[in-house]
Amino acid sequence: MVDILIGQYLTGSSALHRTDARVKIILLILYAALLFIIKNPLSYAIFLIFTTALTMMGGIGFKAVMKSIKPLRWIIIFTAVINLFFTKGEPLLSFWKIAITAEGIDLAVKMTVRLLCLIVASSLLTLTTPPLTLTNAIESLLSPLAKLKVPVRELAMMMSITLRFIPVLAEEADRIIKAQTARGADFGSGGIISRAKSLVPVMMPLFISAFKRAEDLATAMDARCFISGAPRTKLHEEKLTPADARAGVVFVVFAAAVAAAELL
Amino acid sequence: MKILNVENVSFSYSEKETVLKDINLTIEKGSFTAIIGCNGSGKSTLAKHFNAILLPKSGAVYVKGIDTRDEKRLFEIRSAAGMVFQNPDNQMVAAIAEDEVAFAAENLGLERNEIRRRVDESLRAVGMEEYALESPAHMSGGQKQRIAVAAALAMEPECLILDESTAMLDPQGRAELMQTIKKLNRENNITVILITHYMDEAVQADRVIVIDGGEIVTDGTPRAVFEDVEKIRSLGLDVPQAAELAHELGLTGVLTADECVNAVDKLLGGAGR
Repeated sequence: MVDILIGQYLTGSSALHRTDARVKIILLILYAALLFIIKNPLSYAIFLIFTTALTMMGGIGFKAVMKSIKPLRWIIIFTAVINLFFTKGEPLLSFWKIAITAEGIDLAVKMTVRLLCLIVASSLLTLTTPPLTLTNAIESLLSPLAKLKVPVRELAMMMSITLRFIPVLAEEADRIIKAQTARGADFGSGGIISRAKSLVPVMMPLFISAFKRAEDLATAMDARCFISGAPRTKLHEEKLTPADARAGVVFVVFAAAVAAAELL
Repeated sequence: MKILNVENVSFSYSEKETVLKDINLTIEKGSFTAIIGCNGSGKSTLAKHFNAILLPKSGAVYVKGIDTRDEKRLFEIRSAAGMVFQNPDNQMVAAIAEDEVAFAAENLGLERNEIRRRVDESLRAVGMEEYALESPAHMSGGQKQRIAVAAALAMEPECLILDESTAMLDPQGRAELMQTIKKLNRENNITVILITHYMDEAVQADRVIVIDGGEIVTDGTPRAVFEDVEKIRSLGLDVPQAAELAHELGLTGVLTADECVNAVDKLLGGAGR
């Protein structure tokens, strides 16, 4: 069995793990909104401390944090450089047509902190919430849209089935690649184009099998009384717990501290 | 009491080829029936008529007296006749065993307490209660299929149809699944219809129906059906090993391994022991 980590969930039992995914999503949205209206450097410091504290509380190691930042490093660097060189103000240093201003440094630092906080906070959500819980939470939060005829349940179902079939299809791809390799196919060498071409004989059987699986699954769902759009009930109760209340309180205290810093 | 009634059913996927030809069949409540036939004989197509996944082109199928063409009573029909399919990976919706079992009950719109009760009972019935919170991805084939059986049981069906559910399992997984469904048949009085091409499984049923070319060619007790070794062979099917050996030795009335041992022993005048 190919064990593929879907998403980046890290198992754990910290307060962050125990908090309801819906609460985490809402708090993350508020956090992001707050992050983009603050001006005072002190607020940025509070954000940095709060985010670091959360990361440590969630038992998330430095490595996992760096892993989530790494893919976005160019965006962070690009934003910092743009702000550094192209902000108008009193030049501190200048050569040729480029000038570094005090305002530029200020903005570059702030933007970097903003992006870092945002990336780390959102990865905290995905690092401490299993993908299926996340889809359920999204379904629950979007459920008011069902009144506007948005097929929220069906979308959530599609998402969770997709998550379930990723390892199955990955295993299948692995098997096909091995079977083709055994018959002399070469996947590892050549330029990009020849490597991409060599994947065609993998993709075709994979697609055919995926369609077959989809048909089987549809029949199996039919056999168990699934009707798209029909009202369904749920096994799991979606009740908020004291851990969620605590998370709310912590966030309110944090927001109050930020507000105080802004008013200083 | 009859749970299933198939009357003059014919079916075809396309104009050219008829898959089922005028099938007549009744299944008694609480019975254990095996339907055997080689590939393309129409046995799976017939099975899919039992819970309204396919509707007959002519004739009619009645589940508990309800015509399967009655769309308004689809839930009743499908809950009465639960189905387990061949590929364990392709029939699972959820990533956690108990969510998988709950799926059907959730679809029926039951109360949360009732769903919980059915999930627990179904898992217990297949002996998988310890695995309720585990991911089927990490289970063996036999365990996955037992979860699939539990998922069907959550509808509290009177009849369980296993459409080649043992075909992709290893011998141990097959034995596990057979034991589970035999127990369900005996203890929970669930009617079992087992579609298979393993003869040693068919032997364990009360009744064996042989399908060939979309028609029922033989129908009777395993003993009666496998007595006619030449006929079974002519249909491209295997004969259970014990019966085959006995046939080669010119013995009759042998079906199980134990019977075969006794018969051979008798043939050797007790010298074999």
